[in-house]
Amino acid sequence: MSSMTGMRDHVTAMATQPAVLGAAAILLALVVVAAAAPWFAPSDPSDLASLDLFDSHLPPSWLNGGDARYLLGTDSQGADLLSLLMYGLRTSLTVGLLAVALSVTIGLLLGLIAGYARGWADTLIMRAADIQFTFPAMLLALLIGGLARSMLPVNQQEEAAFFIVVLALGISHWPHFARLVRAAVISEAGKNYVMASRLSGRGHAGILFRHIMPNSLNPVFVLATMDIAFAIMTEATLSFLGFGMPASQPSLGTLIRVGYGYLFSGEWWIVAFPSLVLVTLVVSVNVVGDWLRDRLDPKLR
Amino acid sequence: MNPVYFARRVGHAVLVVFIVSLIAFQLGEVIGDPVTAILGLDAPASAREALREQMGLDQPWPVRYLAFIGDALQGEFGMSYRAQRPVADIIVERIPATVELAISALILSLWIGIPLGVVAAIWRESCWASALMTGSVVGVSLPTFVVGIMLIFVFSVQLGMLPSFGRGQTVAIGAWQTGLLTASGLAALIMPAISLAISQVALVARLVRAEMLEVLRMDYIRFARARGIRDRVVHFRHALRNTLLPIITVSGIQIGYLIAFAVVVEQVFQWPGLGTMFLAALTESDIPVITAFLMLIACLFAGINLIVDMLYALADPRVRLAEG
Amino acid sequence: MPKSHSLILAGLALTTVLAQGAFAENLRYAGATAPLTFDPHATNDFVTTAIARQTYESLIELNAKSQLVPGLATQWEYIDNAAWRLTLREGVTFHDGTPMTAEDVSFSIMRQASSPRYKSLFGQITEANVVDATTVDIVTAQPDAVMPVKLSLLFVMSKAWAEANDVVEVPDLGAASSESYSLRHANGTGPMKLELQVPGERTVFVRNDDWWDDFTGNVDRAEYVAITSAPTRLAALLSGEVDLITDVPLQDVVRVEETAGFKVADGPQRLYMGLEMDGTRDVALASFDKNGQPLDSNPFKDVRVRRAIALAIDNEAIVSRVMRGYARPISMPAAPGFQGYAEDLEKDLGVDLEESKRLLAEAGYPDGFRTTLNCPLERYVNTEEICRASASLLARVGIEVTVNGMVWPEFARMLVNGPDSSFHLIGALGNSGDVQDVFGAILHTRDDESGLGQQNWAMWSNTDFDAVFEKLVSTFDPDERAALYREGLRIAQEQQHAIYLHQPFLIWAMADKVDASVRADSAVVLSDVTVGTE
Repeated sequence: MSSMTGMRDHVTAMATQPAVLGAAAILLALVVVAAAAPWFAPSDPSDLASLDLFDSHLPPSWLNGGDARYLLGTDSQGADLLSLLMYGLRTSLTVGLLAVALSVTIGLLLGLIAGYARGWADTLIMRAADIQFTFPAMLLALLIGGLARSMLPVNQQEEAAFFIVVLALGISHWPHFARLVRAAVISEAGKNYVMASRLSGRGHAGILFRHIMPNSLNPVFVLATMDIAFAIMTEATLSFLGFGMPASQPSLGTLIRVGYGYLFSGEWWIVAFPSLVLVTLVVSVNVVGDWLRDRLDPKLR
Repeated sequence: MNPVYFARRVGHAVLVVFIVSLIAFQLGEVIGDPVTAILGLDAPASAREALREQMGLDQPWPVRYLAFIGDALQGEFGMSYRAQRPVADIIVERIPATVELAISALILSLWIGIPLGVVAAIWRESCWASALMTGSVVGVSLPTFVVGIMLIFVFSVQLGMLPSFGRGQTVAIGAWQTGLLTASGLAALIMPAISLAISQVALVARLVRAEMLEVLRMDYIRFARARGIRDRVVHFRHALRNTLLPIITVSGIQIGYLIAFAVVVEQVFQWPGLGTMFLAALTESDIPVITAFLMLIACLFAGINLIVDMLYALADPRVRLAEG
Repeated sequence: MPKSHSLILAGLALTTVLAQGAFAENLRYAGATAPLTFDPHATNDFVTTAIARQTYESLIELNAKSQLVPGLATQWEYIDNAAWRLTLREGVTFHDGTPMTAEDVSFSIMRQASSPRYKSLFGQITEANVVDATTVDIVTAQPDAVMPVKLSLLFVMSKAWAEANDVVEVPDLGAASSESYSLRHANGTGPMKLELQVPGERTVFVRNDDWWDDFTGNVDRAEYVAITSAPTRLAALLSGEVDLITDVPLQDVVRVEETAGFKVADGPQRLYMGLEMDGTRDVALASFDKNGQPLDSNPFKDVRVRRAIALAIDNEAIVSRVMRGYARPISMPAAPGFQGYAEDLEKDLGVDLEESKRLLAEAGYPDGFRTTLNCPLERYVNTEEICRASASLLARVGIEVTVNGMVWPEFARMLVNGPDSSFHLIGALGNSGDVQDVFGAILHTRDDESGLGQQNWAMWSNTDFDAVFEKLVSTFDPDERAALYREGLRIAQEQQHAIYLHQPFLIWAMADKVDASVRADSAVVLSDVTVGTE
């Protein structure tokens, strides 16, 4: 899909749009920070022994009462907010990426099958997709999360929270991809080269994966980029409502939920910084995704 | 209209409601223990057993599911465990708040979104248009609850201008409690409606722009221009009118989404609608309320989709052919 | 037509409000949850009971210091054969003007005793006999020395009114399909009459001028609204929409105090918080060694480990930082306001990490272990923070704790249908607030037959302790009882039955013009509230 020259083209094109370039730079920075959190973060919020209750509720270091050790202040447990943010960003991004990967995998497989096999398999899959489309993804994720949680023993829910959220988001989003892939497959399947390789006796799987799939990937890639932003937002919303990531492994949404309680009491930093990071992250993903869509898939414009 | 197509669509809607009813029922089963929720921690085991039996919770789940469906078909959703009142009464009380919020947000999003989209389409090369498009990306990227929290922080906490919670004073019109007729009710509506509308404004603007661009490329528009009809007339009488059908369709679907996201906004603003009712029921394992809410939402979505599909079929005969 | 109608009605309502405003002292107050029902026998939700208490009175009352004082009964005495004799107050009338009779009292006792929600408090009552016009005998299956304390939760309702409105039986959840009359109507004897109850929204009271007791406050009309979210509840107070709020979040106290025109009042709640540890299982649940292998033992069963945990958890720090000083550290399963609490037994264990590690090593866990702390996310103040703070305090002695936060229904189900927890945070008060009930329900060995130890979620078991309890139940002499309370509390401390954390304070905030004092049962006693004119 993207050879080296293709990639270089994209980069040159990006350079002509400062907003996109800026967004891409910010996104890159955020991803690096998230990936490097274990090395860069001033402290590890999951290392409970390092927390000191007497350092709790400190404001950012430049404010009155701030402490130089805690640049952005501390939360109610005395955890460094900057470190919490870096790890939270890491969690949000990981959940978003994995959830989209899951949606893409499910959607790609089912879409390929539906588009290639047609017949009853097609009907079944696309009906299921239609049905799922009638329900908003956010509510669906809430339901799937609730169901998955309730099927686990009480003591394991905390550890499983991460996977439950990924599963809930992933399942609630696959139909978009399935529809897209199916349409692409149907249009590709009619083309001469597929006919030719079919006549030459290639197996179905070979045709699907060697020919049809690579040619349907572009729109999927674009949609997946946009979907990452959506998944991150949905995860944050779930966590804000208290049905997503728990406070012991907080995502940005969890940090906002916890911080919301302090909004009126003057400890604004506990909620303001996570909100800022979340919005920055989603905006930059969306700007880059939007641009990619314009470049790669003019049909969707 | 083709009766087979119609029947299939209706069947489809019924299937959605059925599946949701199963999920809702199952969710109610596992999310907590109603007997514990009612009696609290200090009831003796004998009292628990007695209540469990009395409520029929000792029956196997298919029996209870059938009973539940049978009652639901008669509009009977049982009594809320917590409020000790019929669930149907509670829902009827809560509907006006959510509907007024969702409709206000819808009107707001169309009222702002359509002109923006038109502007962005007509002057597509201008810097305003690209600024609008970038702005719309930011718009769709703002999580509803973050917008709500920010608004509260600025306009309630810092400036003290707008109420941060509730619906203000309401007035009864028949059974409908409206907040639209009092000053405090309108003031209370402003921030929730904006939070809910913001991402929709961006979506509407983008949609209108795309549709408008499509239409502007069409031959009849070119002819109209060629005949010397003024731009304004071309844009608004011909082009915009032809983009309206998809917009109406999208608004239909939007209402559904607005109601779904109203759950979040209601939580932030303590808006006394269906969303806060649902979330409270979840934390109290008030099963009848949880299931009734989910069924209601499922019916709503199935209904909206059915109508949208019908409209499409009426407008575009190809749909009927494609469906075979 | 309907529109113009409602406008006229709205206008009328407005003039009524204005007219009342001219002569009435109005109190508008808000709490986190709405009263669920005005049928005092159909709920055990303490917020509902605290509100319904303004309308329905109990036979015996608790004063501000949690002492028993006469209510609708002026005297009570134990008369053998497991019976208590109550002498009723004369000249009391219900809000509908009918006089209260012994029949009404007997009816109310049996009605409340039949409620599934009151089985643990009153399930033992077998009869309520009318002896004469002002005397009623309560007979229980076993002698019950703490019946008077329990009677502070027994509310008197008019029998004739109940019969007239078809609410003789406590509304039954399984069968009922419509709202019962008693849900939003009330006919009690209390200082306030219920004028309007809109479920989930607001409750309006007006003063009962025929009340038998003296009003110490001046409230003529009171309106209660529920505002669930704490920040918005506070905003409502500061913007003048309400005059008083209960359940002020700890982090907002300073803000209220610093705002001119508002003040904060606090007082101890009748509740104590503690970490309970599995005292029965041979293998602890969800516990692992430092390599992640499941433990084949139950460290919590070893008193040395329990003591080690107590020595590592700094409850003073939790009180000062997590509770911001609005709690009182405790060292026994009781607190001031509980009948039977022994203040002189309080002793601060202090924090001693070295000793804690030594005890862990002695018990066979030199490197510590990993475990899971089950934590309810709501219900009590700042639970999540308390759990996370406990986890970080325990990390210092090598005990790695995963906090498993759960919404209340999940948490409650885990305890009631198990108890499937080896380590959890819980708030406890016993059913009546008498230490005997704490002993019987929470510390006594679990026994399904007798119903003892029903709330012993830790499954702690100590035969010496059980013996003390058996003696206490059948002892009526106050001095002997005091000694037995102390003996039981001492065993609990010595055996470190739980990690006793603190007694939380209730915090109210109000406008300066309002005077109200905080009661341990969180009731805003409207007859005692004064609203000034600023």
